[in-house]
Amino acid sequence: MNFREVYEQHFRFVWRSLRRLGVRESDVQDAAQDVFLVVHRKLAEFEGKSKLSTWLFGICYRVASDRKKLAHERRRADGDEPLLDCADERVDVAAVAERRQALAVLERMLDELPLEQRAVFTLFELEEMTGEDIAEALGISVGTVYSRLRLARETFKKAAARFHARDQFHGVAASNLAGLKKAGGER
Amino acid sequence: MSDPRRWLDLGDEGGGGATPQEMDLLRTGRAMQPPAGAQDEVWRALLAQIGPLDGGPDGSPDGGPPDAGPPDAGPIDAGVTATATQTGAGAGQVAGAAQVAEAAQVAEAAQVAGHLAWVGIAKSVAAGVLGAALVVGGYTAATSETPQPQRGSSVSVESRGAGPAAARMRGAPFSSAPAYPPVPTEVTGGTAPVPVAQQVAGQESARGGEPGGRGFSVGGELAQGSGAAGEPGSGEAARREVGAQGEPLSPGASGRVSGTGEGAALDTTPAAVAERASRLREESRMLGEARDALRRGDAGGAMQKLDEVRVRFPQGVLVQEREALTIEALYRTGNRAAASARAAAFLRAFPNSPHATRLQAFVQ
Repeated sequence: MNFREVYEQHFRFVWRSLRRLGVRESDVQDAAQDVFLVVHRKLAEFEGKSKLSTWLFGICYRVASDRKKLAHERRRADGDEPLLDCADERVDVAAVAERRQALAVLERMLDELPLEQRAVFTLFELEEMTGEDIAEALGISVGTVYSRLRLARETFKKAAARFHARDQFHGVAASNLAGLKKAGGER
Repeated sequence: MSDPRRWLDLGDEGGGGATPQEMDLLRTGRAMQPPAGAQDEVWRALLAQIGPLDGGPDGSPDGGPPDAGPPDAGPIDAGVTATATQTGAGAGQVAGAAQVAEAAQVAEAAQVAGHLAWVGIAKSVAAGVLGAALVVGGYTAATSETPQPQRGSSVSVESRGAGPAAARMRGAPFSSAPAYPPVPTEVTGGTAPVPVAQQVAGQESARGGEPGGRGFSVGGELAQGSGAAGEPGSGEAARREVGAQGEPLSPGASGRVSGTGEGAALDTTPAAVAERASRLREESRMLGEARDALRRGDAGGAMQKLDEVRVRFPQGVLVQEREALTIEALYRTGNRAAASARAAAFLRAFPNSPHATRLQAFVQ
């Protein structure tokens, strides 16, 4: 498999892996580029001892980890465009807003996980990798994969409970309103 | 040793798995895909760095995109800002059903009952709700004096919407008769955390009758409906507050808002909470100045002030109020086409906003 084939077949995997590892949307193209530069340099050394996807994820993990450290040093604000500043008709603002909101919630939860747990959790629950593959991708034992998954699940649940407790406060208004509307027979 | 079952395979609450809300979140994560055009853009950037590929017949010395997408997809996207490109194109790429599902997830997430009402969290919520409710009220008051197409009904609807929010902030029952909130001259966010925290606890039971799967799953119809009826500022503001503070797409924002490290969760330390409250007060104060300028008939001055707010709080909690005022100001400076375009964009982005009804009047 040559570089271009790897790129075509795995770009999407790399992109979502980076995002799930916490690389912000404004940075993910740069990060993906970094990953594939490494792939380009090292593809010849990859001898098929492991699955390509686990090898790629290992690279993604290192790139995401480096970026995370870097982000502590210099915070970039360039992804900070106001949502509604662009009245460009080509951009479907509503869809953007919905998607951003849904992902914002998820990322809030994932942000509470240490990177090594986050990697295990997202690979297992979202990417549906096997424990064995995850162990290979991260260079850890399967037992460690399971224990990290357990910890990550606990943390995720706590984060979700906190978030929902917080958000439920606002949901009350909507639910009350729905009740009012129902009573009023408006719809 | 065999793998545990995945949460999404377990089904609702099956065998100690995830809650339906957690599963919705995970589904959002599974559906994550790069936006259209991203693959080509990164490919071009790569070729610029590594030069023409020498390996294999598929090497692309001309730097053309590796996939057979429409040749103009890249250039079009490239013209848009990075964020807009990624998110806009990505949204377009996801199937409609997936979008609806995501929207439903948000809606459900927004309504799910939790178990912890942290005082720290409640504080920030209180600040957000208070600020938003006051600004909504103030905005309504300011703009109700201005000539508007379809003015009568929409303004009264808004007043209704702001009333309950204000009433709730004072701890009054939501079902009390809608009262027009007093227009504040000074926002004093952060003074009401304790009552609100208690309210959170109290409302756990109040939401018992809420239908479980309610949300955008009916294509936003329901959400639209509640917006039209004047959804209290609180709900909207809350979601926006979440967006602003938990915004994952803008590292700068999270850093600035929470004052903590990159990727940190919402910081509930007193200092961070205080900082958020103080930022919100400032945002609210500036919007109040813009509103006053608009009331004086100084639409140009209002626009200037709104631009300042935009620069200082690009992901502000009160982004909807800012945008609504901007639309109003544009209209009054005679820039009606721009007002119309922005109002349309606003309505697409926030169909259930408390401002939605009246902003419809600006759409030509």
